[in-house]
Amino acid sequence: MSSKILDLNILKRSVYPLFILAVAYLLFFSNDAKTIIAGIAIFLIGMVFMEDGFKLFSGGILEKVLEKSTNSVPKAIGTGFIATAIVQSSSLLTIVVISFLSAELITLSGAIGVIFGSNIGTTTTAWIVSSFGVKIKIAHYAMPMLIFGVLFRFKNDKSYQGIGNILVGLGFVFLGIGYMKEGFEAMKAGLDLAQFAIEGYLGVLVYISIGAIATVIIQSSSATMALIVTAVATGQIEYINALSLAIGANIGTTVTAIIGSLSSNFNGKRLAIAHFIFNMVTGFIAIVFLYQLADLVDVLAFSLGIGDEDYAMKLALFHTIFNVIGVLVVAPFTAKLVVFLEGLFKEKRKDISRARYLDKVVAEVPEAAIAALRKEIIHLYDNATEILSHALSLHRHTYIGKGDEISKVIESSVKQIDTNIDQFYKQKIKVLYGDIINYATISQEKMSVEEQTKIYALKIACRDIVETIKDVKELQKNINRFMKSKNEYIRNEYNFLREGIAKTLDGIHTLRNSDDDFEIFAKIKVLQDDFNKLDLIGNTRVDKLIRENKIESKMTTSLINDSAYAYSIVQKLINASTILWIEDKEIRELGEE
Amino acid sequence: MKIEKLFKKVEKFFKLDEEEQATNDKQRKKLINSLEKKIVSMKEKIKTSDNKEKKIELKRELEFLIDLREKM
Repeated sequence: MSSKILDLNILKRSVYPLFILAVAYLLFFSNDAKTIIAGIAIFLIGMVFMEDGFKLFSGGILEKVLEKSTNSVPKAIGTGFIATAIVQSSSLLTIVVISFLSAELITLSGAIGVIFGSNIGTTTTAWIVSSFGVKIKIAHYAMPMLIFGVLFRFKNDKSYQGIGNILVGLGFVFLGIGYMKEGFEAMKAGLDLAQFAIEGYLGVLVYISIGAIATVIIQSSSATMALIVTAVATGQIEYINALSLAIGANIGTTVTAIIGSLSSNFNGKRLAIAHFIFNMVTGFIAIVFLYQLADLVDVLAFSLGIGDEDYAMKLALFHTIFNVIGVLVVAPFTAKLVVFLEGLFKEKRKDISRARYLDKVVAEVPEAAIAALRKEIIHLYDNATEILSHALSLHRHTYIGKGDEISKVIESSVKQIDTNIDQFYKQKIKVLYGDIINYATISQEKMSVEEQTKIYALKIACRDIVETIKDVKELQKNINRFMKSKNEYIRNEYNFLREGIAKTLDGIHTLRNSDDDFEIFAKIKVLQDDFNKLDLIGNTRVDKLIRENKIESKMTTSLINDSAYAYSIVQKLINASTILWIEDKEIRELGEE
Repeated sequence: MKIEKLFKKVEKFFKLDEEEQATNDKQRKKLINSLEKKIVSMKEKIKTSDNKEKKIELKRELEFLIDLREKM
């Protein structure tokens, strides 16, 4: 795969200068082409601003909606449609979807559904441009948007900055459309592109290719559609050729997605192929039934009150119809598509010492990055519990889920488990811990204050978990030493410490399977209460043993120190659990009080 | 600074701050309601449970939930 990426990079590097030269030639020799190309450039800048704006403004709304509205394919299609129609960017939605898929917040079928819906949503651009973009002097509306947008951007609040970016983005998009329209109108006076119209299926294929190539170059099907709509509205291209260009734009956008996915993870690749298959099937249907679809557009346009000569709006209608048909045809096969894609790109089994969820793509979306970090810290916790259990000379399967029988298990587990904690720490914790902290720091950059607070809490949970290993390392030496001691009193005391930690780990295992925050809260409180009692009982027991001379003074010092280590482990495990498993901020804060 | 003041005036004019407060109050009410429901269902669970140890455990959990309701 890497050689393919290399080849593509070489191709990109060699084609790019030629492309720049071609554009420079056009700019130099044709004033009208200059205006149109400037329009495309301004339109694209507008799209970038709009995307950034929605990222800042939505404050996680888009992510929350996606997380909750993709549990069935029809729902996911609806969500993809509405979200893309609002944010006017299928690429932003694709980034969010890949991030969510990688963080396992949504399923592959849900993600595919969103992509299907997004294809219909993206057709709203053509409606916007054709309904008022080319009919009114849209550039006039751009100016106030740009001015207010810049003013909003001065504000420190991210939501205001987001609104500012959206306004600036819309302003540039409107301005871009204005320039494109002006360029085509001026061009028509000198050169009528419509004279190059090609009839029949040869024309269809030629214009599909032009549409696809234009989209690959511009890297935005919305921009291509805006260009096609303005061109058809000014009569610079024939209506039937414009329909072919629209099909080409749909195909071209999948090429961009596939090139983008080459450096993406397996989830990105799966989605890109799903998108490719969908657009190919849709394109094929549109090509085969082009003339029938054009007739259907005429019938529907008449009933919708769209004028017979209003080719721009008829083009928008065609764009929507063929994407809707595509969804109707492909969506019933989503389950089969999922099976095919999962077989095509398999997730590599990852080394447990390395991060499983911390993907670069996920870091782009705060909500997904937080979810991925949480999952990774749970992974770290699982690795840590293995070390903790072995240090206590226990295997997890012998005591987890045993509840009140744990004390019996402790008494019977006297065989020392040979564990080199330093080595274990290096192999299963250190690298993972480093990955988590690095990822948290990088993803924090793009986050709001509230999101940064969540990351900070997760970092604390992570630190607490790692520190339990350092504590247990100290404890392990004396556990191994006194577990088989002939002095039953010291043996019992060390078993008491082992039991305290084991019961906490067992309690956490029970509560983490619940998805009810109140239940988790109550269980953590019970653990905390047990811990407080344990601390008190432990101290009383040690005092009694000293008074009654049941243990030697050396044993006493070790026991007092080791009790502190054991209680520190339990307290840190409880703290980490509160952060990791109570989702509601208010309940969590009350739990920490 | 003038722009900051202008935005604050806009916020007041559109009552955005009040809206935020209203949303928070609404969420808190929702949270308290679900806590009440949880307490009722837990009481029911305690009544119907045959396991003595489980009953004790549930009673302890219930106490903490009642404490939480008072704190809220």
